[in-house]
Amino acid sequence: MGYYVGRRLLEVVPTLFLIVTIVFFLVYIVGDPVALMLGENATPERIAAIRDAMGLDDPLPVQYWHYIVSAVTGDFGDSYQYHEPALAIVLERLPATLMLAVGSIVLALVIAIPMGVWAAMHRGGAVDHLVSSISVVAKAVPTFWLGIMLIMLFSVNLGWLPVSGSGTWAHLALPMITLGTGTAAEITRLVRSSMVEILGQDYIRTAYGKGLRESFVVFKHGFSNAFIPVASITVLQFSALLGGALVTESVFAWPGLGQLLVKAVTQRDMPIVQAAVFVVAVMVIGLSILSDISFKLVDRRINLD
Amino acid sequence: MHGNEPLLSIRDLRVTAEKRDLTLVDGVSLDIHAGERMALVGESGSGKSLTCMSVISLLARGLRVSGGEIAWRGEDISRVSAGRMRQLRGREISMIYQEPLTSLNPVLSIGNQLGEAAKHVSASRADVLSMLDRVGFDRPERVLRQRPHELSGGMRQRVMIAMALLGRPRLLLADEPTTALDVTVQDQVLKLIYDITVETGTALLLVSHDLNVVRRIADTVAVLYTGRIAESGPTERVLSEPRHPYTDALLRSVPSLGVKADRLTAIPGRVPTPNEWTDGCRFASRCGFATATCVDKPPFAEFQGQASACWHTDRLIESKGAR
Amino acid sequence: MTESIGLPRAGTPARSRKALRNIPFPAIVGMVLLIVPAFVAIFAPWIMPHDPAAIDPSRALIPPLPFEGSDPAYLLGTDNLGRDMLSRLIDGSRISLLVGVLGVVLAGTIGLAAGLLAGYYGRFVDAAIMRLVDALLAIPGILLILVILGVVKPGLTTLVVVLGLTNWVVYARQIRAEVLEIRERLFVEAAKNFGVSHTRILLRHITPNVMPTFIVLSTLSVATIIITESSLSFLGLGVQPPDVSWGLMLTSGRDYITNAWWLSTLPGLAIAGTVLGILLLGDWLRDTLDPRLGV
Repeated sequence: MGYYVGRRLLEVVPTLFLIVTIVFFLVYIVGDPVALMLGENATPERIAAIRDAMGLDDPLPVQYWHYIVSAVTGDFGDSYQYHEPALAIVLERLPATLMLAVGSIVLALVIAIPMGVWAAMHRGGAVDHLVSSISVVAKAVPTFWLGIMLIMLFSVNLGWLPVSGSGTWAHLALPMITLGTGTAAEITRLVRSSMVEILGQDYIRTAYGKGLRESFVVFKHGFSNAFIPVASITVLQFSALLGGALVTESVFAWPGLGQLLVKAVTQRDMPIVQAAVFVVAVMVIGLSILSDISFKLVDRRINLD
Repeated sequence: MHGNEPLLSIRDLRVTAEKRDLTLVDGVSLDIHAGERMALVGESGSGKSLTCMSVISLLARGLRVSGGEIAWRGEDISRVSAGRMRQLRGREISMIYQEPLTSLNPVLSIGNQLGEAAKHVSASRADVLSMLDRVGFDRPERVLRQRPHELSGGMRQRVMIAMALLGRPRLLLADEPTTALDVTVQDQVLKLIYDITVETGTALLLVSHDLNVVRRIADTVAVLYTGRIAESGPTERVLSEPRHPYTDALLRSVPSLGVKADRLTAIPGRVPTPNEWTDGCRFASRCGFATATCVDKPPFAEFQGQASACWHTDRLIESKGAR
Repeated sequence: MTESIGLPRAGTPARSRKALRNIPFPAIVGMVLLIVPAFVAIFAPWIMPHDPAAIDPSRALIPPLPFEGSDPAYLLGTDNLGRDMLSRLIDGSRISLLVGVLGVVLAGTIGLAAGLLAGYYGRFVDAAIMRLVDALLAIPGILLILVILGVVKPGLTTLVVVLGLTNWVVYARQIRAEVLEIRERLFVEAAKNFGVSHTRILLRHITPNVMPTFIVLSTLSVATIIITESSLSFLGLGVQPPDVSWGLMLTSGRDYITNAWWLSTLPGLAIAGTVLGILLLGDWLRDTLDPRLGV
């Protein structure tokens, strides 16, 4: 087990290294950091001074080395807009985004598990077709548009919920639904297909043969076996969900990473962008390792008890 | 049980595959009395397992009982509600399956799975432990904590037997319970099933393709071919004096004490698939006695408790006398 | 001799033909949903009732037809600058679909090449490509796009390139897995036929066998790319005015949700309908061409 954890952790290093390299390539080679920083009407002298101060006239390998060193130490430079360390600003916004993402995942699971199980129990029937239709439509609707439609319905026409902003649970409701819908659709499909497979297994027949109730058989014997595949796909969905969160936040003016990023991109505030990419990548990779290890542990308990 | 009333009485049972509209069990009738051990014999596809599954309403998806009657102590249970069937399962009728390896839930402990069964039939923990002891576990407490994959196939089948008999059912259905086990273990499990059903007076419906198994366990036997009963009767009679050419051919294709290996003969041709089934005798294409008469459905003729569906029983017996 | 290297596939031509004859209902819905915007996009210049860019504040915010205050000349109403919604939707279909198709062509080409190389040559090539794939998978696609858009001027070309560069990963992974499997089967045969070059094996024998997967992945990618394009345009980072796209139309619509619902509803419906059509068609293609891809 220790070996496994160690190996998984070691695998992270090249991946993170590659991500940092990709970002370096984009910012320093495709783009011109000084031009990005100063805008278009800067004097040549000023540009030259900044280039020198930033070490941009050094040979590329040297620049790259400096870049890697500062990335490893979490130093992505100061934000051009806020004149504060970029990483600190990003970390400050992170909790709001995480809250939205986690809330959406929980909501998605609460909807998707019963729907998927229900469809699997009635596979081929009307319920199954209904659930498949709903989930394919939910997948087709663009997240941000769903957000706008929800605002129009619940905030503007019905006046039940605030249009945008943050602070209360009411503020969280619409963004959570907006973001959770697509994930729910994805998980529903997965729950359905794994349950269909499981419900055809011999041990399910045994459970029925014992005289157990259908709901009991389906949830205890069926879902206990679907848990691990469903949990691991949910973790995989997390990366996509963070991407969706970036857009959803803009619709609802939710003060998270997404809004910060979109603004940083339009303002060409590259330190913020780089720090955000790094933080998100570390989070996604960390979560996938954590889930791999915990599933291994669960499996081990099953194997060895 | 009073009088001669059968425990289970199946009449003209039909099982169809809904989607393709194929009849897979085509008019099977049989009676099992209290304490009787009956075997259903036949090749795969003969409908023996389906008949067995129909009794406890565990047919696979897409299959259904489309005709006939399954009377359990006078009550037709082929059309009964799911709730009523649940009451019967485990308490009156139990089942053990062909694949002990996959018939237990891999993520739940044995104790958990036995516990559920015990709860359903109101058995105590002590009952569970003594039952485990009875089926041959030296340390029942330990087994409860184990998970299926920690047990061998034979041990799992013992767990299944314990689980099935916890509720002291009147009938045990066993669908090829030893087929998936190692040869050495097969004997032990078979002996356990025999002993325990004799002890408890439980009736047994054993599905098997192995005539040697049947000979050792069953009082009566029904030979199935292509969804119909070819021949049925007391095991000793049927297996020594078959009245249907199929039973005869089956006996001659199986090595046993009576037949030497060099005299074994394979049955020519192949079993017709359900879409090829006709109303006439379905064994005719492989039968040495077949004549033009065989295109009509052979009648079921009874002779001293032994019944067979063949036009040419007389010629079969004649030929055996001549040999 | 080499031509005899045949690989049995799950979906033989005969089976595919049979499946074509009884197309399931959802797939028919999908085709209809897709044929409409495709037709509209192709014939846009001839079927647009008005100039999609013609501004006239005097007829701003006319509601669509059955609603009060509507004008039969403007079937789907007008936007805040008095431009005809129908014409703009028709015009927008061109860019939305074009970006989707071009994005997939780029992503598919890169992904196919990467997957083939990684799967066929293995070792170093495989390790290098798969590391890159892992790295890109650790960042949400849209985040990577934002980084690129931070350094490059937004616009149509940028958009297509960016979408292509971020969507090839799915192809690479799936196709590599498939090639690994095919290669095992193929090498036994190939060993008997010495003189066959790698390129030839790769192009003549392996590529055709990954085509079903490739096609299925492409339908799903078109859907993803169309949605991503609309999201980016909505954020102001994608299609730039005066070009029109459905996503871009939504940006201005958002400011009028209180008094002109059609500005944001109609373009969204257009996107959702098109994507739904693609998904339905994709599900059907997956079931017919390659059952293994099913979840």
